[in-house]
Amino acid sequence: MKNIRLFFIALLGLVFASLPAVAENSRVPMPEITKGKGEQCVRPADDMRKNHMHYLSHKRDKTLREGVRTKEFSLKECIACHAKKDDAGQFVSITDEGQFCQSCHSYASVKLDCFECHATKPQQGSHDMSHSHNDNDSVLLNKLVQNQNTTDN
Amino acid sequence: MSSNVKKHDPNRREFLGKATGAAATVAIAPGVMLYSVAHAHVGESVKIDGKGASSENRWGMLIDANKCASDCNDCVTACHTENGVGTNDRPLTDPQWIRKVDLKDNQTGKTTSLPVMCQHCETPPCVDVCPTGASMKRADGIVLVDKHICIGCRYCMMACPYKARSFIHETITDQKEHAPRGKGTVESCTMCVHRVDAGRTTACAEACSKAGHNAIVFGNLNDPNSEISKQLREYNSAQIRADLGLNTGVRYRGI
Amino acid sequence: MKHVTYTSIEGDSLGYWALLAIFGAIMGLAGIAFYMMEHHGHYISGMNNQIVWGTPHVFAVFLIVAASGALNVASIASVFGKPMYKPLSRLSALLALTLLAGGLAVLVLDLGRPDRLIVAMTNYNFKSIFAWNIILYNGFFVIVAIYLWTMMERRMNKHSHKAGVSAFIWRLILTTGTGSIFGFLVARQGYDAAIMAPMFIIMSFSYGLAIFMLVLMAAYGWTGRQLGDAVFHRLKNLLGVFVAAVLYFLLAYHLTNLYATEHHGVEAFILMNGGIYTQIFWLGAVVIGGLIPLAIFYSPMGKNRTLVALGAILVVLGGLALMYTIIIGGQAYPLILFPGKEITSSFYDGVINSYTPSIYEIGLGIGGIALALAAVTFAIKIMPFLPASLADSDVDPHHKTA
Repeated sequence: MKNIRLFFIALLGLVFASLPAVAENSRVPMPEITKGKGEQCVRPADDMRKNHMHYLSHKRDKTLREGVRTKEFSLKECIACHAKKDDAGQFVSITDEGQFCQSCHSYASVKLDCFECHATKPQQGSHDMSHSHNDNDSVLLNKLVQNQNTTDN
Repeated sequence: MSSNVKKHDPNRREFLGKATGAAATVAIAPGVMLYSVAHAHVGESVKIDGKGASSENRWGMLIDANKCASDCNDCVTACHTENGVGTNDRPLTDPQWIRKVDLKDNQTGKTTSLPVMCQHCETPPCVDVCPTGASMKRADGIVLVDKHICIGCRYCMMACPYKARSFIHETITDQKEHAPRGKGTVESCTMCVHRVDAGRTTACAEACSKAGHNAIVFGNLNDPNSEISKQLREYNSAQIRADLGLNTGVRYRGI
Repeated sequence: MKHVTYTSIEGDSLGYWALLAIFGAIMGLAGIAFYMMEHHGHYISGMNNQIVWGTPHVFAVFLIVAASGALNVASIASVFGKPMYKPLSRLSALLALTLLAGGLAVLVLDLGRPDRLIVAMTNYNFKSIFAWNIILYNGFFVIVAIYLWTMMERRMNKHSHKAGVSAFIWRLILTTGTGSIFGFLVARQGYDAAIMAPMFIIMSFSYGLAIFMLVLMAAYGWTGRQLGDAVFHRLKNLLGVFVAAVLYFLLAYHLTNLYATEHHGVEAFILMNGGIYTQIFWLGAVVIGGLIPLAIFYSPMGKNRTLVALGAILVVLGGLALMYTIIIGGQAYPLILFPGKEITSSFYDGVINSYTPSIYEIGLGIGGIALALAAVTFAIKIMPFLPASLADSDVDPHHKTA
């Protein structure tokens, strides 16, 4: 018993000792969070960051099982709002490197299961996106995330 | 969707959907529609309410095999295009949500052609057997697979009397926005639930009308004034494997 | 009868480690097979939209059925009070656990979404016999583990009868559930029969005991422990009864189906013109898995242990063959959507469905067997499951010292 406890203490110590090193030399790029197209998300950003999965999961059951197809928390609307277009004017998949869903999930190392089935970009033409992305917004948000990370460290 | 009685008229449903979708629609005769431009994209252009599926409705289809041409595959093509069901040139494992079958009577030699898809049973065996409850029936009678909790056991495929379901045998990309589908889960005809919720008809019925056959009538079985209910009252119809007593939502004439 | 001493095996010989290494290698290959099927999707397997359950299910259902049957030896001792079987109880319960683990591993690893196992454990549709099976499997693990504990912990011995009765009842319900997975399929010509449940129970008696005997012989032969004729012949004769009973149930099942015109098509398919399925049924399930073992067990050949072991192997092979005809043959015969009409389509309506087992499916299935056997091999090394001796003088109550 004593040996086992010692082993776990040693293991924990190792984990803690290596934490700062991991953060500094992280090979995972900082998430590049692009701001959506509208003025405001359906919930404040910090709420969404924390709870988007619960909102989505609740919404998915309402939609699929009860046929309630409102826009709020609809995954389709999330993607329509956050998807970027490439230089050729084609939508980029939300799961591509550096895109909205992918970058954050890869940073947090949380597996994304939505896109085994769901479309990863808005259907061309079905969502009319007249306004282009504001790069300044995305820079601003990234700064926010970065600040948060530095305080965590 | 408004709650007046007229909403049950399939033509009106179609018309509303198309009109608001800014797709020019010309009705040249009851049940025959011509479409001049690309169809509206679902969910964007129609009125969306928060009410959802209601047991006041029971959606169904009446398929008239007498009007179904043996060499016509339009309903199948339309369905698979609508829902993004593609092929990998592996017929044994490629999914088919709807298929045309040709029948020949053993005794008389009479031939019949008809499409077969999920029959949207009132008491679906697939829903009974599903261990997780992924196979489910909505309040309005549409039978669906909840792919969020489907574990891919395929017991529903063992239980379905109609061979209506397909297992997705390989990775899928470029799904349609309104028809999520992915490897390792089971799928079948959704009665174009995304269209129905938007007040439109099914892709197969639409294509059949467009081809001029009008062999598929989509509508509300619970509404006595709907076209489908009127026809079911007026003519003899049948259910496939009626012996199982499943009370299917899809009915046939001429089989 | 003397007091029975249980000891763990030494398990430090080259042979022991070689055995574990072989099982490990097979499990490794099964792991690769699993990865391939999950990574590429099931299209690389022989299964398709017509044959939705394939070779993995043959192995999985066989192992699950055999698991409940393996517990029977213990039940005979503690439920029916036969003292001679008592020393065998621990191994019997252990084998029940490991065979079930092997079968479930195969079943789970074949799922389209094995990563969602937690969904299967947390979402239950109580109208589904499959959901009930999941509960029954989990319960079986718990109850048999408790049963083992009551047998192996001296202070708990007084509860072992109660635990044994519970485990026995549970296993009967479990196999009823497994058989009903097929029995409840109203749509398919080959299934939809109440006899599936009791037939699966009798099949479990037969396959479980055959595997038990093989494991017992191997364990005692390779460790140099004594296995007396008294125990051995009892087990052999009992296996014979079970094998005959399986044949009887098959007869009743097919006779009933043959009487109904509705089922003539599927019966002709399995019994006469189904090609490979007909061959596997008659040659595999009836002759190899039934008649030959019976001939061995109930003739002077039954005195030869090697031949009896061969008979038990044939029972296992015959069991796999029967599962193959039930599970795959039952799906190969097409669904009848329009009786009295010939049907054609691009979706294989009205045709005998083709199926060729892929290397991945076979690998996964064999991996389940390897897992079960490896677990037994390991368990008997670390804990005292086996009596030090099963010589007649030690275990036969009627043994007379010369």
